[in-house]
Amino acid sequence: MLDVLKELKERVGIRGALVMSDDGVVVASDLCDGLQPDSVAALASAAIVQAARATSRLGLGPAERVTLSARFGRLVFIPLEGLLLVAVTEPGLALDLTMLEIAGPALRIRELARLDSRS
Amino acid sequence: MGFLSFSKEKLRLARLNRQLRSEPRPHGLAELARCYLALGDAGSAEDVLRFGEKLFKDSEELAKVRQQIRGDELERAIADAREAVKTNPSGLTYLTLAEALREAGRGDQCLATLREAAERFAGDSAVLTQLGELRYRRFLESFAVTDGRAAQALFEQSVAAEPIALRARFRLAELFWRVGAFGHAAACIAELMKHEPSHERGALLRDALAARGATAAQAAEEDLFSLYSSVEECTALAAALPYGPAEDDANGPSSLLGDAKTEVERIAAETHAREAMYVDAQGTVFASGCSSQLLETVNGLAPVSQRAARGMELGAPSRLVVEGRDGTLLMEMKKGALIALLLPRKAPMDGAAVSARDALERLGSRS
Repeated sequence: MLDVLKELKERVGIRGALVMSDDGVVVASDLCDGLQPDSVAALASAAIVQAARATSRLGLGPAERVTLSARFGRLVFIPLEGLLLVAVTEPGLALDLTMLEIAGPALRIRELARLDSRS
Repeated sequence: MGFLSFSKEKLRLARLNRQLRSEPRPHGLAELARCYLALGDAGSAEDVLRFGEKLFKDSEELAKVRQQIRGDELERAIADAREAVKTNPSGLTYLTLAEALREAGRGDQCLATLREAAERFAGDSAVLTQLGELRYRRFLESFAVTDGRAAQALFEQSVAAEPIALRARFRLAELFWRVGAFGHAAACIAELMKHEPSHERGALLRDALAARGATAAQAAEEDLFSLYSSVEECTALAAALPYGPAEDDANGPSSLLGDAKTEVERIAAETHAREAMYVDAQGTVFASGCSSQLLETVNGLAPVSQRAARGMELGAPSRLVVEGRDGTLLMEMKKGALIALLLPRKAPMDGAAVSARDALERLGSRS
């Protein structure tokens, strides 16, 4: 899983990423300097809990992706069957292309998680 | 220059700066900016230049200084990127160098860098995709068969190296559409949408292909070389993409601004939102078909977004998109105010976000 994150970080526009469990434990991380995995996991946990409440309350079905854009960067949260992928990206990039860059590794992480749970 | 002379020079420039601020002249401001640059004070040069550009938008003198600054920045970026390639060679450092060279207008050096990267990191899907994007951009200007086929080959290699290289698949679909290889485009898009069904432009391309009756089975009958040759001969693409400027035109100029409630109703209708609300910086709510659940949700998400963005030092949050299986919540935020839209599943997000952002700007400027 760390290899997948390292590869994701090599993509243009991706500053770093981490994978955490539903209960906020960091499983793997490759973040840029200045970001602490535990702090990111704590903030991400709070955000995704609120997002899950939102989708439930508003009848949107299960949350598939949450994107938070800010002045100096973007956060993308992708729930993955008991895990959560959090990616930090540059601001101002074409969002749909950035999502395509993240979608591939997200699928690989989901497959790895499935393999882990079977073994 | 000794320390005392340096300080004297800075004082002299500071006096000149004050003079020019009260009696601005484009030539004087350009000279002042150049003097600051010569002293290594890029920050002051930038301040002077911005001040001048606001007053004298068409000044050639100021434009020349701007070009000089940009040129210096690019040279520094290129030097840093070359150093990074030397000390820490990777697909990313090569791509960073290539991008800096491209921005500096050194297309051939950029291509050479990317070729080296592709050889050195053969099988690096990201490098192949970027190289493909560069050739694709050249093809859109040159219409040359060689550029088009090179771009196609690079995207295909990227996909071969990494089957879920979705960006490469998307660009391949666009390229095939543009040369009129609709069967090939349909095959690529089908594969893309399998993995990323919510991709907006992918969906538009898929729908446009379906409207033409294009199917993946038709790809076998398509003669790609003839299609590329035809584009080169006519110096024109076979088909324009079903998004881009045309989509912006569809948004069009907004209607006359009414009060906030009217504006919210207008946004809701324009974006097909089933619920919409505007909360101004004082916390007053203006809503259209809004339920208490939406209000409660927004009240929960806004502070969490603030904490997450600021906690990771990304600055003030501007947009939150929560995509669920059956719909999407979009929140545009600025200076304590926000617009929230509850959108159907396949609503075009870019258009909705632009409309919401425009409305937020207008409403904010009135309060």
